[in-house]
Amino acid sequence: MEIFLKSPSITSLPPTIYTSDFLLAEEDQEESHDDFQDEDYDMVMTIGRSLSTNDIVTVFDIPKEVWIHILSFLNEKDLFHVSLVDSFLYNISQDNFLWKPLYIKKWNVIPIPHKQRIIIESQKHKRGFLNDYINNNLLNQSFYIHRIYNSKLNVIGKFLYQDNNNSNQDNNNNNSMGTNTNIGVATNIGPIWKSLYRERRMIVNEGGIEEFFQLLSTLISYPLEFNRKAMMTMYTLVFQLCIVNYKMKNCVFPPSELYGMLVEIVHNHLMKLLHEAQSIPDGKELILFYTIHWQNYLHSIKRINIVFRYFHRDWISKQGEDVSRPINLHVKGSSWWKKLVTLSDPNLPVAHLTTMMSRGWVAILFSGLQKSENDEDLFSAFNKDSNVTKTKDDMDISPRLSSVTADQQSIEKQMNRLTKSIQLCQRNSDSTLISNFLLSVFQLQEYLILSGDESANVNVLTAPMMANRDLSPTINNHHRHNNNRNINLNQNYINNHSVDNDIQIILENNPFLQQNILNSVTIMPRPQRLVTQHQPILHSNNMVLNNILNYTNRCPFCNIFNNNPPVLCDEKMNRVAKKCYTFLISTLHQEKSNSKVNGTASHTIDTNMSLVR
Amino acid sequence: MSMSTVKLESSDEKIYEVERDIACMSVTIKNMLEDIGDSDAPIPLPNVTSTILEKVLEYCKHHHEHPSPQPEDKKDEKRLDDIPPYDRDFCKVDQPTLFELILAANYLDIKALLDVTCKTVANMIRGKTPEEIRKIFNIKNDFTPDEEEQIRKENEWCEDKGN
Repeated sequence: MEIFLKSPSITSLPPTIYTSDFLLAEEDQEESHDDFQDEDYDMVMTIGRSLSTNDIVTVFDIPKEVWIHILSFLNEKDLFHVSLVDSFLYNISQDNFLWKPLYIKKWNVIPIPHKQRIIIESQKHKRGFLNDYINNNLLNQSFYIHRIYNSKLNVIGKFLYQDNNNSNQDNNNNNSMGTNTNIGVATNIGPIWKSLYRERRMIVNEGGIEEFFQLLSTLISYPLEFNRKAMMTMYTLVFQLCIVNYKMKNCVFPPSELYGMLVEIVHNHLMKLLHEAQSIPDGKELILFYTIHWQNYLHSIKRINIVFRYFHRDWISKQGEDVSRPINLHVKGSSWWKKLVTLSDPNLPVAHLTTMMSRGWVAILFSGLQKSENDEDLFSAFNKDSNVTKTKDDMDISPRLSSVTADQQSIEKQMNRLTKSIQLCQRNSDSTLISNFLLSVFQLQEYLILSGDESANVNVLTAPMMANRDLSPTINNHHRHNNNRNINLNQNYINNHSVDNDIQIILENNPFLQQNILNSVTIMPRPQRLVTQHQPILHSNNMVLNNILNYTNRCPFCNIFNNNPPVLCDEKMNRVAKKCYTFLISTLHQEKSNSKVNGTASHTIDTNMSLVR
Repeated sequence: MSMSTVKLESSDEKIYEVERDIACMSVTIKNMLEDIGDSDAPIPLPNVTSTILEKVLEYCKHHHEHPSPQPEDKKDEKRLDDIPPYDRDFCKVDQPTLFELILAANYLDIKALLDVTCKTVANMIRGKTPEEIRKIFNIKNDFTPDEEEQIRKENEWCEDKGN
C-alpha cells in the first residue's frame, strides 16, 4: 500500500501513523487511566482559551514585535493616529525603532531617544491572573505537578532515543501500515509525542517553568538525543513563551528570566563536567575527555541557538542595541560569568547565547582545568586546608549559592592540569589527540568572538576529517552507553593514527602556522578591523582551520596586538595553544628526520617542510 | 542520503510532502533540517493549522517557481506600494486568515511572507483616523479624554507637517 505519493506538488496525506487502531486503543487506555488529571487539563485549556478570543485569530493575537514590524511601514502621521487607538498600540507606537528611520529621513538626524523603547519587562514578576488562578487552584495540589514532572525525563528519553535510532524502521512503518509487522517500534511515538505537545501547551499556559528547565537541561547535556520533533517542540515552546510575553500585559515569564535560566543550566552542566574531570587522570585521558565534551558542547550551542532563534530575534538582539559591546573578554571573562550566575548585577549586559555559552566554558571548565599562576595567590589560603579529597557527593545541587566556592575548591585541586596533560601527551607522542585539542581551543576562540550576531546563524564547525570521523562515534558511544569514562573505547582511535597525516592537515590549512615556523619574530601588521563589527563566519570543510587562524591572527577583542602564535583573547587559552603548537611542530621535525633516516620520506611531509623552509 | 522532499505535519496532524527547497524558505525549517540531518520523519509544526499551512506552502511554491528580483540596495526604504500582484491577491483574505498568516510567517520565519502580510495590514491602517482604525480591527478605546488630549499634545508636530 503506497501512502506517500512522491509528487512534487503539495500532497495532503492521511495521518496514517496516528489514526491506526492500535494507537487509538492505547490512547484511550491512557486517557481512561488518568481521567482525573485530564479534567484538570481541560480546565487549564478552558482558561487558556478565555484569554484569547477562542479559535478565531484577532488583531489581539498579533505579538508586539510583529506590530512593530507592521508599523514600521507607516509614516509619522499614521503612527500618531495609531497611538490614539488604544493603550496597547500607544505603547508600541512609541518604540524608538519606529522613529529612528523617520527622523533620519525627515531631518537627517539621529533622534535623541525622546521616544522610549518598549519595556517588555515593565511588570516583571507580576504574573497574569491566569497564573494566579492556577497557582491557587491547581498547582498547589502536588499530584498535578508531579504527574508531568516525574514522567517528563523518562518519556522524553525513551521517545527521543527510539525515534533517533529507529528512523529507518519508522519509514518502513509508514510504507507498510497495513501490515502489523514492526508496529511495536513506532507505536510509542504517536502518543508520547502528543503528550509532549500537550505539555507544551500546559507549560505555556500555566507557567510550568520547572518542566521547561528540565527539558533545557536535557538539551544542553545531551543535545544529540533530540530529534526533529523534539527540537521543533522546543522551538515552539520558546516561541510561545516569547509570544505570550508580548501579547499579555503582564509578563508570564520575563525574557531576562529565561536568559537567567539558561545561564543557570549551562552553569550546572559545566560544573558537572568539571567535577567529572576531577576523577580523570592527567594525560591523554583528560585531553580526550575535554575534546569529546567540547564536541558535544558544540552541538549544545548549535541546538540552543536553533531553539532560541525567536528569542534572539526579538529580545537579545534588541537588548544589544543599548549596551556597549563587546565585553573585553580576557579581562572580564570569568568575573562576568560569576556575576551572571549569581545575578549580583541587575544591569548585566546580555550577550548572544553562543557567546554566553562559550564564556561559560572558558570561565568554568577551561579555567577550572588550567589555573594561571597569577590566580595562585588568590587561592593559596584555601590550598592549605584542602588536602581532603573532594568527592562527588560534595557537589551542591543549587548552583547559584555554591558556584563560587565550588569553583575555588575544584580549581585548586586541578592546577594546570591541561598544561600538564599536554606535556604527558608529548612524552607519548599523541599528536593526533593534541591536534584535535588544539582545534577545540580554536573553535572555542571563534565562538567567543561571535557575539552580537543577531541571526544566530551559528554552525558547528566541521572539524577536519580526523575530528569528524573519529570523535563523533565516540561521542555517540559515550551517550548510548551512558558511560562517562569510556576511554578504552577510544584507545583504537589514538593508536591508529599516524602523526604525519594529522600534522599535514593542520599545516595544509594553516598558512599562519607555516609563517610562524618560518619566522617567529616577524611583527605582523596590526589588524585593520573595526572592533565592534562581527561578521558571521562561514565555514566550509577545508577552510576551517584557515578561518580560525585568520581570526586568531586578529583578535577583535584585543587592542594589544601580540605577535606570538596564536593570538587568542584569553591568556590561559593562549598558553595552552602555544604549548600545543610547540609540541606539534617538534613532532613534525622529528617525523621528518626519522623519515630521512629510513629513506621513506612521505610526499606530504616533504611538501610541508619545503613550505617551512 | 539527501532527500529532495520533506514532510511537514500541521497541528491537526495532516502531513504534507514538500520539496526541500520550498520548505527551506522557512528559516525555522531550514535550521531544523540542517541540524538534525536527514530522516524521513515529518517535521511537526504545532503552531500552524493545515488550512494555513496549505496557504503558506502555496505562497512559497509560487515564489520558488517565480523568484522575484530582489533590489537589495533599496532594503532600508520601507515601501508600501511595491507589493507584487500575486502577493496582493494572495493577501485578499478575511482578517482572521490574514492574522493567522502573519503568525505562521512569524513562527516559520519566512521573511517575504511576513513582510507582505504586514504591509497589507499597514495598508489597512494608512491614512485612517484613529476611530476608523478601531472600527477596522474592532478595538476598544481605553483612553480617558484627558489621556487622549495628552497624546495629542505630544504629537502636535506630526499634524503640523500635514503629510
